[in-house]
Amino acid sequence: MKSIIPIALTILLSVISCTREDMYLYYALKAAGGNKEELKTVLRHYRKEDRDPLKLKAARYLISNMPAHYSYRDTAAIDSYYGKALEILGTGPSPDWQRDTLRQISDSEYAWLSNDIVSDIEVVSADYLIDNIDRAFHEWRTRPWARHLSYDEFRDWILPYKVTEQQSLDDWRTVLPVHYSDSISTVPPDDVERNSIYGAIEIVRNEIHSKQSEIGHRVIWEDRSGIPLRSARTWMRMTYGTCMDYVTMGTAVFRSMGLPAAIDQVPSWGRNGDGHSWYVFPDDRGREQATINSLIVSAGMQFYPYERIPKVWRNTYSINRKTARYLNSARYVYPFNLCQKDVTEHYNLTRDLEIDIPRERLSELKDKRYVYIAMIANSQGPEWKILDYGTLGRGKAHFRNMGCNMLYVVLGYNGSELIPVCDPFTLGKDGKISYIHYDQDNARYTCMGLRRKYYESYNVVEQRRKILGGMIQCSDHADFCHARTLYTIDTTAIPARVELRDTDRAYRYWRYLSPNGSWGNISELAFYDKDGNKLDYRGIANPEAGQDAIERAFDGNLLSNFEINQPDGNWVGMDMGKPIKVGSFSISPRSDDNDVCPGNEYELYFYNNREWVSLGYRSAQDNCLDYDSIPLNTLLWLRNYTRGNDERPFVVHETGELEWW
Amino acid sequence: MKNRNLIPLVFMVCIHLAGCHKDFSVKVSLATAGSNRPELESVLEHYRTADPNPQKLQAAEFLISNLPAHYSYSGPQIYEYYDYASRILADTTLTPEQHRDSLLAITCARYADLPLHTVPDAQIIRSDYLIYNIDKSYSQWTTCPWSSQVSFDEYLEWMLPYKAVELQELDCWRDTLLAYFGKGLEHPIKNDVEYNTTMGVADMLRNDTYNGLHRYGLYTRSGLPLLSSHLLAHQSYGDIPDYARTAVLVMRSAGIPAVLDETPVGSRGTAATSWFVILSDRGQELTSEWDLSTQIGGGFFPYERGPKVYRNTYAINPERWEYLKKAKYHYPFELGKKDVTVRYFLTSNLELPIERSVRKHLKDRFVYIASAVRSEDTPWQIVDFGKIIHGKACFRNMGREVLYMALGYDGKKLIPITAPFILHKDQGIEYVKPDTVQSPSLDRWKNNSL
Repeated sequence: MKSIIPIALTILLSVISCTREDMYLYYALKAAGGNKEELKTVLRHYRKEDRDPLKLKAARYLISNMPAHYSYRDTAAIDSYYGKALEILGTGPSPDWQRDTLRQISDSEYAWLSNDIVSDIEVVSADYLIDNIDRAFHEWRTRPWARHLSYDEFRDWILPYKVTEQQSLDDWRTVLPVHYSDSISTVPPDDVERNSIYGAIEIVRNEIHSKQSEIGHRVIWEDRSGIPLRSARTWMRMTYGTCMDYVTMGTAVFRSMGLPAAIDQVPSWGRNGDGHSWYVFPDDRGREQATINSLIVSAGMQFYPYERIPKVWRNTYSINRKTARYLNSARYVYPFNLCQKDVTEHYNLTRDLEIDIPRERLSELKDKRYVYIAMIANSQGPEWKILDYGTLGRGKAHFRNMGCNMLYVVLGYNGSELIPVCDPFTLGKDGKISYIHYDQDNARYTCMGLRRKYYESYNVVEQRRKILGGMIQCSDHADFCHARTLYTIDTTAIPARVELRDTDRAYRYWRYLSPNGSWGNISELAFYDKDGNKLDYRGIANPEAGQDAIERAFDGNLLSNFEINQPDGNWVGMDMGKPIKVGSFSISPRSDDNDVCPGNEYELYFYNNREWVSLGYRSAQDNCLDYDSIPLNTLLWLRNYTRGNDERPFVVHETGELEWW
Repeated sequence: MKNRNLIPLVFMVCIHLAGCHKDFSVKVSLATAGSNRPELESVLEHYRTADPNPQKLQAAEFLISNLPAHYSYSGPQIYEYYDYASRILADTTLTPEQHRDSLLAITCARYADLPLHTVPDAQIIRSDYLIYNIDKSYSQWTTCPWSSQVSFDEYLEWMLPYKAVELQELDCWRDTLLAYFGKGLEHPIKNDVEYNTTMGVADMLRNDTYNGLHRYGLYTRSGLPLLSSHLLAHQSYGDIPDYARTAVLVMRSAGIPAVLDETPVGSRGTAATSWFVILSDRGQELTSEWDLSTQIGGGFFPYERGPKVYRNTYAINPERWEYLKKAKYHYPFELGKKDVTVRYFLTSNLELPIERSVRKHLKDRFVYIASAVRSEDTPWQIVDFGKIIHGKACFRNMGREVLYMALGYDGKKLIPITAPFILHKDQGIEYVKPDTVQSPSLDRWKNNSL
């Protein structure tokens, strides 16, 4: 009797499971409306004609999850746009021109198209689906690198009839392998290495990269494009695109050849607002290989070791049923992607969080079921950026798989907007939670000079150190023989303007002599007369420096640099044309341009009870902003109203150290 | 010889494995210490009374309860060898080849049998040495920002152990190696990204050690390994495992969690057979690929295949203890090894049918699996043991795309109990005729011999 119970439980569970799968299929078919017969034809085909149980299973899976996927309704319109794109791509002066031209066409002729979408369940034809399933199975079962994959792996990594939404329901599985198979088709069958997943993906990736290079592509991150290029033929001619564009195209090419691949993405890196996408694949050793830079570099490189990672999502064909429940029942609906799976723990240490929510905050909420976890992003000032939803229960907010080494806050819905319901907190590498709370009654303050609005990397510090030991010299001779040293730089915290004493007489030639080993590195150099007027004469430098390098030292751009291809003996300066007395100079080490900059307008804020409160507006007179009452252990933010995008929150500790989040 | 030291201990430790009772296993381990028992007891007493830290006490119990798996050279002769090696390595007029050949010559002439004379660490280790190791590693674990992601269990295995490999000298390697290669930690460039991270510190140490060692790869036979920290710092020659071992010790000396992984057979192509692994800031195990010369976490031999990967652990592998206790034939499996093959290769659990006629010759339920290697003399290398269950030879986590054969003990020797077979990538098993094993067509399923 005892042995019957587990069996009965197993049967019961499998019945429940079957019922659920059947239910999903039932609702999908119901959602198909007039297209239902097409989908039933597919199921019938694999029941009666091609009696392959796995293909039938695959068809049921694709149909069950199809309601979440969508395409352009007006296929003639999108095809006509792609037709124009094919005429433009690869022509004209540059990929930027092609992008701008297509954006113009998109805006003027097809602006409505992106909003006119239809669920695939209403439009996918039986022939299209059967053809896709058959081709995917054929690749899986015949390609030497794919045969060992399990059905579940095949289903997730190869089978789906599309890689991205609004992808044309075209013959991508036929066209792409033909176009990108020149190299892979020459691999002998007994070449174990190149017939592995890793080997084959590397070969195909190289061919994609090479063919895209032939048509002059470049990855363009910064500017808006027109309607994305998501058909097989436009992919083959794609000359510009974001990381997501390129990995989408690459993933389609890989899957078309039976190479397993998927797209992972961070909505935001943990300490800046930018997201990123990359492709990932299970290699022959069973490990997931994440790539780093679209299709440019090979797989298996170190994955951004210093980026903070709050969440990583994998684009899936499967509907995330938990997210579906959220979307159906939340009173405030944040547009989470229905077809994404949380894979954060593949990339970072994670913790499941239970955050206490104060009773008075709970009472404000109109949705007592769902809450949100957010990080700080920069949108012309601090802004909470939602990463995931969680649930409320017993006065606690519950979130799963949150990346460690991050700053978060919990938000809830008060009936009109999302509001913070707890203090911001850090989740340490060790999983410890530390709240950042400004306590007005017991707050302690410090005075300090702020020099940065953004954290600094090793590179920035290292570059700044390259001015240590540099000298300001003058001479009567162009080759600086008998040069007189007026100033030696002994600190990286050099003032924005340095007065020169001992300038009792005038000299014609003035220079900054860089220390040996620095490769000359500086960003800007300027000389001023006794009245503070900037001197503008002919730039000079050691013979190894070209005119371009000299100009970069005086161009006023902190992101352009004077750097010479030799470590020692570099200098840059001015030939004043006649002897002149220089009163002061300014020098800017090479940087990321996030140092406080004289002339820029700043405001320092601290976070107090859901508000960012100003600690004072300043126009920087120097490269340091002095504040005399900065609250300790409180979240701070330095805004630059003049220029730049990079700003991050920080905390000043009792030790005077700044910690950036 | 190593096992000869261990086998008498098996009866005492078997209950430790069966009962899994911490206090009891410590007691059993203490019983193996002989006259050195008071030294071990004083360590426990120290953390109960003088420094009553429950975690340190737990660490001490971990070290002591697993002591029976570890051993050192017995007698002072090894120090003679190390003194000689020290003089040879200090002679800058000699090339690395001459260093190696001189030490090989004296090893052959005077010290060839030293590895045969070992003593369990339990019988020689001193209390102050254990306390020094526990205090030092614990302090690093609890204060270094680059190890704050490490859990206590991970700390025990990745940071705490007083040695990384057997026969390592019980010296102050943490201080010595840090003094040689940890200069960068004294004045690191402070910034808000790389500074004080596991990756940043590990990369700095790797670079400093790589540049400080004047590493020179020599792969032919050497003398006794240089397992004293002063010698490690002056190592002028060595193979990949030598430098990978040094890397583990350097990393641990600075509080970076690190372990040494290795294969029981050679590579398929030209890959390393031993490498170090660190636990990154994100809790990921990042491999070094080649010893000190390659970036940590930057790709790992994508085309390699093999039967097994083992991790050197301080903890006793309970399955191997059980094997030592119960097996009628004793293959010299090291006790401080953990099977981590699944982290590197696609693996399969095998259930190989054994014909009744073959089974009746077997005198032991333990069976063995051997991997084919490219060697005419010893074409099969035993890589693991398994058990016969319901008439099938069962082995766990076997790497795919490898040519194997199962063996059993007939009371006198090991005999084949299956035909050679290829475990394919898709988990299919293809048996081949024994007389075709040396055929070049099967070469692609073999690894090199070590």
